[in-house]
Amino acid sequence: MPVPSPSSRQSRPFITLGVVLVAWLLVPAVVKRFLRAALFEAQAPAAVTASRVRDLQEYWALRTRPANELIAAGKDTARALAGYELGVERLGLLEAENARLHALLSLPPPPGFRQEHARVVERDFSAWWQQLVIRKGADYGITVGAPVVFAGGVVGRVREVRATTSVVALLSDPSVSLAVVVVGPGDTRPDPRPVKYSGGDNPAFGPARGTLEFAPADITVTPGALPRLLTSGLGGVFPAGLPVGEVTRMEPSPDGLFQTGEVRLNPALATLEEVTVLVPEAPTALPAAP
Amino acid sequence: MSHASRQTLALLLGNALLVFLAAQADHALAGWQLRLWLGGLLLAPAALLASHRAGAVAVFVTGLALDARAPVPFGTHALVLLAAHAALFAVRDRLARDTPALRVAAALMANLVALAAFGLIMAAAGPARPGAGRLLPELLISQAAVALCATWCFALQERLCALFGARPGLELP
Repeated sequence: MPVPSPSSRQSRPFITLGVVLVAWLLVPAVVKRFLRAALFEAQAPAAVTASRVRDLQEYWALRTRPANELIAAGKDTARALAGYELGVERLGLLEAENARLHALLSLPPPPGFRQEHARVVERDFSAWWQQLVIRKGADYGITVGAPVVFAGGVVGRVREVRATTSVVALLSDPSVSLAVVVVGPGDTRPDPRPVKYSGGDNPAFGPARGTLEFAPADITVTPGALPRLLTSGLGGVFPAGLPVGEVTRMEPSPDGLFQTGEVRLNPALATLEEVTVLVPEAPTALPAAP
Repeated sequence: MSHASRQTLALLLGNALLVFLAAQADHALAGWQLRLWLGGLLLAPAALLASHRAGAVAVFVTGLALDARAPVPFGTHALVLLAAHAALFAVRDRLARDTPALRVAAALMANLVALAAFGLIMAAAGPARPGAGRLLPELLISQAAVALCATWCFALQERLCALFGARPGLELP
C-alpha cells in the first residue's frame, strides 16, 4: 500500500474539513432536526439520572438532621400552610367576582393555565445562552412557549420540549424579551405604560441581569428605592403581575425620547431546584418561543 | 470491526464521559454565572493519538452532541471542533506527542483557538454580546480546567483505546 507523502498527510485534514463543511450545508434541515432530537434524547437519561442521584444525596443529607429540627420545620410548614389555605379561599372569592364582572361586561375570559411542577435537571449558563433542563416534557403535556415561574417570580419560557424533558430559556437569556410594567417604590399600582424587557449581559460572579428599553422619560431610579418590574400580561404568554426584577440604573436612550435601563434579576434564578410550568389550557394561543 | 472503528468508539466513549462530567460541573458553577469550555480536551487526544479518520469522526459526532444541547445552529460546535482538530492533526508530526507537557500545551492551545472561533461565530450570529467581565473569567477557569484534566484525559483515552484493542498512535494509510 503506498505511504502518503508528508505534504498530503498535512493537507488531508483540511480537505476533509472542506468536504464535510460543504456536505453539511447540503444536508436537508429535516435530517438535522432528527439528528438533533436523537442526540438530545440519547444524552437525556444520563442527565436525568444525575439529577435523581443529587435528589437522593439531598434526601440522605436531610435524614441526618436531628428530629427536633425536623419537628420545628414541620410546625413552620403547618403555620405557612394555614396562611396559604386562607389565601386560597380569598383567591376563590376573587376569581368568582372576577368571572362575574367579566360576564357582566361580556369580556372574554383571561387565559387559563394548568400548573406542572418540575425538578431542574441541569443548569447551563453560558455567556451566549442561559437555560435550564427540567424533568418534564411531552409526557406531561408541556408546550413550547409555555411560561415558567417560581416562588420569586418569572423564570423564563419553554424553548424546546422533548419526550421526558424540556429546555427553559431563562429571563437572563439574550433571546428572551417580554412586555413589563414598572412599579415605583412605595406605589401599589404599576405604571400602565408597558416597557420592553430583554435578557442581557451576565457578568461572572454576579446576579443575572437584563435590559429595559423604551421606558418613559419620567421614570427615575434613586439608590435604596428601586422600581420593580412586573409582567404586563400583554401578549398572552405570562399572567399579569408576576415579579421580573428591579431597575438599578436608567439613562436616556440615544434618540432622547425614551430611557434604557439595567435590570437586576432575582439571584435565586441561578440556584433553582424546582420550577412551575404554566401550561396554557389553549396552547394554540401562545406566540412562538425564542 | 476495523481498527479505525474501534479507535472511534473508544474516543467517543471517552468524550461522552467528559461531556457528562462537564455538564455536571456547569450545573454546579451556574450559581457563579460560569461555564466551562473544554473543547480542547475533546479534540486534542483525538488529534494526537488516533488516526485521522477515527479522530475526525469522533470529534465531529461529539460536536453534534454538544450542538443538540445548545441553542445554536446545529453543526456549529461540530465544525469548530473539526477545524481545530484538522489544524492540530496537521502539525502533530512535528510535535513530541509522547511528552505530557506538550500534550497539555496542545490541549490548551486547541481549547483557546476553538473557544475564540466559537465566540466569533456566536457574536456574528446571535443577539448576545458578552463583555470582558464574563468572557475573561470563563476563559481563565476553562484553561485552568484543561490544564488540570489534560493528562488524565489523555491517559483515559489511551486506556480506552487499549480496552477496545485499538493501539493509540497507530496511523493507518
